[in-house]
Amino acid sequence: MFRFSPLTIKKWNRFRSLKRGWWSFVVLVTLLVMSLFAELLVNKRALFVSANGHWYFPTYTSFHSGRQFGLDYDYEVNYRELQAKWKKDGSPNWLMMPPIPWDAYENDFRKDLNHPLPPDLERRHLLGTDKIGRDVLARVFYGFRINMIFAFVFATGVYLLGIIIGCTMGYAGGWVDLYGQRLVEIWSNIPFLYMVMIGVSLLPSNLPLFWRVVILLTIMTIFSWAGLAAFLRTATFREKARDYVASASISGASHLRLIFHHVLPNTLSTLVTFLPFTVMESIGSLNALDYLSFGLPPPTPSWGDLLHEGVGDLEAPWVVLSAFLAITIVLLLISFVGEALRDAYDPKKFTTYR
Amino acid sequence: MKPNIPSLLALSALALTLFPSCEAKKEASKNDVTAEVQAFYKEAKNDKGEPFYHIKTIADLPADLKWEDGAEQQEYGSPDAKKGGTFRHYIPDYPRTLRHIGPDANEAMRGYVLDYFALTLIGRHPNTLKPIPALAKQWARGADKKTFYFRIDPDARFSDGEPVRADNFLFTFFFMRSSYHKDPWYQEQFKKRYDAITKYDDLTIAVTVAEAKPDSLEGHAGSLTPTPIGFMKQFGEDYVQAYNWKFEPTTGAYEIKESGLKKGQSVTLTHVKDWWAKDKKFYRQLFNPDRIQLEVIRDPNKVVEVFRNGEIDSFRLNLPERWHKTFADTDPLVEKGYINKVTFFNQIPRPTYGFWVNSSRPLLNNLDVRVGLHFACNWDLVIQQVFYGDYERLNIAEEGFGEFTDTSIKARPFDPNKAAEYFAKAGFTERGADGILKNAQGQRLAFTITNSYKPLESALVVVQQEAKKAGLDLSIDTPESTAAWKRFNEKKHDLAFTAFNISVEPYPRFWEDWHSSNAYNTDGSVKTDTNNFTQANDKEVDAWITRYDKSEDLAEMKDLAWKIERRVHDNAWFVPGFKSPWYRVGHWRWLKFPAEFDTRTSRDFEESWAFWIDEDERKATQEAMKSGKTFEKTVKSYEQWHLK
Repeated sequence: MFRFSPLTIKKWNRFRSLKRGWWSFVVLVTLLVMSLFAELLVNKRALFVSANGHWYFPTYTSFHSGRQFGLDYDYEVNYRELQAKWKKDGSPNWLMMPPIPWDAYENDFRKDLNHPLPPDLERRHLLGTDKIGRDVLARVFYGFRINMIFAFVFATGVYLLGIIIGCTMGYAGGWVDLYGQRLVEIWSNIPFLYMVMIGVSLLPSNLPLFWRVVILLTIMTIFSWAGLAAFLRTATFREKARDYVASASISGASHLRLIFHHVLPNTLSTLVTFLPFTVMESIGSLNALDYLSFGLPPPTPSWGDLLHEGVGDLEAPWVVLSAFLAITIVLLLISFVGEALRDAYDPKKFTTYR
Repeated sequence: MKPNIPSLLALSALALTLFPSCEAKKEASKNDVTAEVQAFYKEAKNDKGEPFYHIKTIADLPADLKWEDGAEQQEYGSPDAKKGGTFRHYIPDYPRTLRHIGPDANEAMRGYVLDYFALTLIGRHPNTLKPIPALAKQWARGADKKTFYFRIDPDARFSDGEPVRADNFLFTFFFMRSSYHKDPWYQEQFKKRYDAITKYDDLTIAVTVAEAKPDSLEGHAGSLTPTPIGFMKQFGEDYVQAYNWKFEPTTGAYEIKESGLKKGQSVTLTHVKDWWAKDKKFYRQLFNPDRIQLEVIRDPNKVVEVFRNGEIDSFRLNLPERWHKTFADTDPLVEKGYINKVTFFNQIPRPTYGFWVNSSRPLLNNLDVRVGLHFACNWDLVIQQVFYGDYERLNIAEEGFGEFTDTSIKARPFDPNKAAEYFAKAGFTERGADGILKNAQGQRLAFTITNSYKPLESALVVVQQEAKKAGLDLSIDTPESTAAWKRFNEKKHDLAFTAFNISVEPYPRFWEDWHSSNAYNTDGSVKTDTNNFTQANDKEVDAWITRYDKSEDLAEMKDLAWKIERRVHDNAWFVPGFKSPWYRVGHWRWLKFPAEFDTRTSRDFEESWAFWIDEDERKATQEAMKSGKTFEKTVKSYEQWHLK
């Protein structure tokens, strides 16, 4: 049976004892889990519909046209209106909407009113609407999920590249290290935001969204591994010089075994403490790019885009505040977690440098 | 006169021995275009194969010419206009060139380089559209209705001092018909539209157009600009690079000096010293500021703040949210009278905002898909919700041409059921799990809108969301505007969201937009760098356009115009968007305007250049703002040209 090493358990307990970091972690994980099921919480599709003796669960299934529910159109049924109609007609059919009955794309246009409109509890726009009548809360919430997914893929890419390059440099040493370091120095001095902007502006217009995102991610990853590689090189270098590695080597362990069984596991503290900052970097860059409209194409919900709109229209403070607070809170939470992780992995529990 | 080659050689040999380092000079003289020009003057033919250039004497001038001078037209500037000061404005991007022709020249800067200021042979009065003197002080119409005679104003000269003479106009044809500037459109137009130019003496020329048209005088013959020969001496294969940052001396009031260029930051135009037309009727009250300072401001939101700070003098309020919200009537700056707001109703061909559908693309080459697309675009909702109901729906691309516009053609309204009907005809019958239509091959009904206007992106998002109801997936791509135009010119878009600003003319032009020769080369490949963004290709339309372009009978032209407009509508090449019957501007109170504000056909006050800067008022206003003194709130609407 798999058991955590006592050392890991110790670190974990230490992490839990750092209250600010731990609670930030709990909140973040909760948000993350919620956002994975965002469609059940914030959506224009009903959770369940009971119509004419049939049950429907439209959230994750394919769309239902208006005609299926006796309305005169072929496009997706408007569940809110359907609900209101059934209620008015006294129909035995009923449906249940999610707590926030809007998705991130729907325009809630109303006669003689121009968006953005302030928070409205009755229509359940808890954070108001943006300039074309989309629910701000829905956009913030879905934006969070996109940011997180993006950060996950980004971090994976950065770690893959960073570990391979950093480890190679530190382990091989000699001229590999020498040239590798120069490469890292040059590479980390290339202004990454500009490279992404140039790269994105060269993309052909008819590229599907998926490939745009993949290319955006690739460019971002290619220009972001250098920091991690530099740290990992140092860590590897240090571990490699230790006696246990030398003795393993004398016992006949292969290079691969040395790297994967001895060196890498001991650089874990570097890897783990670096993670929150990589995630923060991802969120920061993605939203900066969105803000400059070089990021995800519209109408993808994005904080950067919302911030851009909000800054352009300060008469609607709920837009800019929502985006600003979302970014600030999430970045704060992550940095608290990062801080706590760093402390948990710090072998010097008592140090004068605290 | 032929250059004396042996003595030239001897001279250059001498120069080489004396100044061994003057390699560059040697290069330059090698590039001298004079001989080539002379050869061209001898050999050039028009489209009909006849000689293009004619040199005659003043005695050859027809005796029965009736010379006109436009004296009956009224000046449209203001006698109160104050000269001097700096007009401060912005450009959205630093220009990529100062040329007015060739790659990258057709951008925001071109107006300042050429269109706004450079004078043509004769002008057109912006209220009456009748000819007024410009470089020519008199003109006459020939009996053949194709030849027009001009007497050049002896005072006319370029900003570098070179006088404007007949030769400068002769040179223009050499220049335009050359391939060195890499702009085939002009090359073709100047060959196609003109049959001959005749020099009688240095100040008298005649221009013969290829086809007699009702506006041949003002529209074609009189619209020629002279080219400075001295400046163009080294015109050659490397023109595009060599002249990229050289400002062509102008006959207009403003020039760009090297000191006026701050790379990436700003461009400053200065008033030509002792401008030759400064005391001439029609021009003495225009072009009043001494300097025009154009800051590069790339972010539209920053422009707002810069304007609020009074660092630029005016700001367009054509976007409804700008008028109703950003600078609402209750805004303190407006309320206190520091910033004035103006709605000016004009009578012009409307800019063609809408989707230019690239019919050479797969799926979009199917008429049913295009018609379905029309029914799937909910512009009315956009107008109501995004544009505060201020705009109106555009019905066809050629609106605002009076009787040449067939007003019975109405843009197809949003109707998801009808759209689905047409999509079904094209084989798109099944809706996928996401509600988007698919055909039997599993192909999704999806297109990309390439948008050239960042501020209008949210309007497109509404169209996009509504189109889903019709089972159509539109994605939006908003590159930086010059990049977008590059894409359109290369015909690499699906749907181009952009507008052509149509110059004020009495009747529409169809050839540029709808003739198939602007869509495909003779070998069938896609023709780039033309305005046919829809790749319109209909032989019958081609024939009508050819007849229309040749016709000089207004009734026939009208008939053909209506036919073309109807067919363009039937072919569903262009999804008309919206139009506004006015232009709106906010300006600081030191920017002054004539009593009528602007002319009938002005799309923008930067077209008539009748405004002026009152620097004293600027100081007074700035002081008033400090001391808290207020002025009368001014929110005005000028409706003298409002077509109700």
